[in-house]
Amino acid sequence: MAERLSTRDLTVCFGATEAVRGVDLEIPAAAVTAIIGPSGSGKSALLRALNRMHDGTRGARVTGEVYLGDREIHDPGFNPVLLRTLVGMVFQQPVPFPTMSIRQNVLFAPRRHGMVRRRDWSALTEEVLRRAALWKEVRNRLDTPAALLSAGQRQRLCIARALAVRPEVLLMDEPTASLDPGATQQIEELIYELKTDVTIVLVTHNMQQAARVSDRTIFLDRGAVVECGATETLFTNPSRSRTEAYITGRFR
Amino acid sequence: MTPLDPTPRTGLANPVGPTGAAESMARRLARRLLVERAVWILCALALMASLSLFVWILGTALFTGGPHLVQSFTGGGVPPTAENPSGFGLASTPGTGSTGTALGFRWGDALMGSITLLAMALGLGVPAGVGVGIYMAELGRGLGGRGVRLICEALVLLPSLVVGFAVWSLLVATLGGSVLLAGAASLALVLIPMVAVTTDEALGSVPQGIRDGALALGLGEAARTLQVVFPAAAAQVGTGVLVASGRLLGETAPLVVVVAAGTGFVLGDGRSGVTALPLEIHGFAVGLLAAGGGEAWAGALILLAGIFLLHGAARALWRRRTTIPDPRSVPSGSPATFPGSRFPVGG
Ligand SMILES: Nc1ncnc2c1ncn2[C@@H]1O[C@H](COP(=O)(O)OP(=O)(O)O)[C@@H](O)[C@H]1O
Ligand SMILES: [Mg+2]
Repeated sequence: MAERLSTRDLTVCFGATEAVRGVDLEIPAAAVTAIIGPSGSGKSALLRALNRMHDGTRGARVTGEVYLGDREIHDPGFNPVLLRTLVGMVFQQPVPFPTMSIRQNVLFAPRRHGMVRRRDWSALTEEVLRRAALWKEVRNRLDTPAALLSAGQRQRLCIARALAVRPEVLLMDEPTASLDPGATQQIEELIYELKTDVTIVLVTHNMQQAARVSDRTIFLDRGAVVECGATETLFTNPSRSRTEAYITGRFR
Repeated sequence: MTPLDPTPRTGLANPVGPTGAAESMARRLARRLLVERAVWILCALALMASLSLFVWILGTALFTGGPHLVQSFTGGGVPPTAENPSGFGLASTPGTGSTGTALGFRWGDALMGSITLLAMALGLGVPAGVGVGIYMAELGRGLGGRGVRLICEALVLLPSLVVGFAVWSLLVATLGGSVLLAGAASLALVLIPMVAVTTDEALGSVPQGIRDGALALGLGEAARTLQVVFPAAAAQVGTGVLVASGRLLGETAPLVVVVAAGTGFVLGDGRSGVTALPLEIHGFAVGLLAAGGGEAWAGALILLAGIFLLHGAARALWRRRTTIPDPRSVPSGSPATFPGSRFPVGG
C-alpha cells in the first residue's frame, strides 16, 4: 500500500525563476515527512512536482527524476491520471466541490476512474469517511451539500476525497494553515493515524506541527535542501547553523 | 443627513498653538464642514430628481398605458383607423399583408413576438457565449485568449444598430433567410459578448483550490472545466444571462433595421411575420401609427413589467449562486459582483 518516494536532481523553473534547484530526496514509506522552510522557498513547487501537478501550468518546467517505488513518474509509459490516483494531494484551501453532496465528493474520483462498482458505493463511502475521521459527524447527512460543513470538516472531506482512490502517497500542502486550533489538532491526529498505510509528505510553515507529527523533516531554503533527517535530531541537534537559526526563529 | 456642528473644536485641533494659527485652523474647519453639507444636499437633490423621474415613468405607464392595455387584452384591440385601415402589427394578420382584420392590433401578439425572439436569441446566443467565456477563462490563457477577451469587450460596446444591419445584409439579403431569423440572430449577436464576459468572470471567481483539487484527482482540463468548475459558476452565469435578457427585451434598433430593410416598413408588419414590443412601441411613439402616446405607454408598461420580472429572477438566482463558505480563508480569483449595471444600454 504505502510506497516510498525519491527524487534525483529535481529542478522546477517558472520562466527564469528557479523555484526548486537540484533536489535529491528520500521519502520513506508509511511515515510522515515534513517539509519546512520560509515562504517562497519552493515547498509547494517541490510538492507539486511529485505528482506532476506542474504539467498544465504555463511556463513551468520540471527536470530531473522522481521515483514512486522503482518507477520513474515521467516515464512515457506512466499514465499521469494513474499517477495522481497513486499520489493524492490535499491543499491549503478547505474546498470540496461546492455543488456536490458529501457522498458525491467522496465517490467522484473512484466512479470517474471506474474503480468502484455501484453496489460498493455506500461501503466505500463509509470506509473512506471513517478513515478521514468524519463518518460520525456526517453519517446522517451524506446527501447535504459539502459547502455546509465547517472548515475543519471540509478539509477532512478533502482528505477523504483523496483517500477514496486508495493512494499510496498523500501530499499535503499546508493543510491546516486556514483552520482554527481545534480543527488543526483533529487533522494532526488524522495524519498520525493515516501514516500506517499511506506515505505522507506534509508541507507546513508551522514548526511545532512538524515536530509533533513528522518522523523526518526536510528544511528547504531558496529551492535547495539545507538539511534533512529524523525530526527529533533536526529540531534538537541541527547540524547546519542555518537550520538552527530557522527553528529558533532567528532566521533573517 | 446628520446635523453637523459647525463650531470648530479649536482646543482639540490645536491645543498648544498660538492664537492666530488656531483661528485660521478654525476657519478652515468651518469651511470644510460647509462644503461637506453642500455635497450632501446636492446628492440628495440628484437622488430626488432621478427618483421622481422613475416614479413619473411608472405612474404614466400605469395610468396612461393601463387602460389601453386592458382594452387590448379584453376588447377588440386597437381599432382600425383611416390612416391604418388594416389595424397594426402583424401577428393578427399573419402573411396577409394589407387585407387586415376587424380586430386590429393586440399587445398580446407583440408580447408573444418578443418572447419568441428572446427564446430564439437565447437558444442561439447562450451556448455560443458560454463557449466563448469558457475558452477565455480556462483554455485560451495565452495570446489567443487575450485576443478573444479584447474582441468581446469591444463587441459589448458595438452598436446593436450595426449588428442588425450586418445580420440583415448577410442573412436575408445574401442568403435569403427569414426576417424573424435575422431578428433573433441580431439579438443573439448582441447577447454573445455579454454572456461571454459574464461566464469569464464567473469562472474566474471559482477558487484555485477547487481547480487544483480536480486536477489532483486525475481530471483532465476539459473534464475539470465541465464537471467541476462550470457547475460551481453556473448560477452566476445564469444571473448574467437573465440580466442580459432584460436588456434584449427592450432592444429596438436591430429589429427596426432588420424589419425595415426587409420590407420597407419601419414597424412590425404582416409581410415579414415579425412583431415585438419595442417595434410597436417605436411605431406608436414616433407617430407612424395613429393612437400614438397612450398605446406606446401600454407597450412600455408590458416591457417594464417584463424587465422587473427578469431582474427579480436574476436577483433570486444570484442569492442562490454557489458561494464558498468562509471567504476569509478562501481567497478566490476575484470577488463576484451582481452584473446589474455591467452592460451598456443599447437603442
Ligand atoms: N505558477 C507560478 N508561476 C511563476 N512563479 C511561481 C509559480 N508558483 C511559484 N512560483 C515562484 O516559485 C517560488 C517558490 O514558490 P512556492 O513553491 O509557492 O513557495 P512556498 O510554497 O515555499 O511558499 C516563488 O518565488 C514563487 O514566486
Ligand atoms: Mg506554498
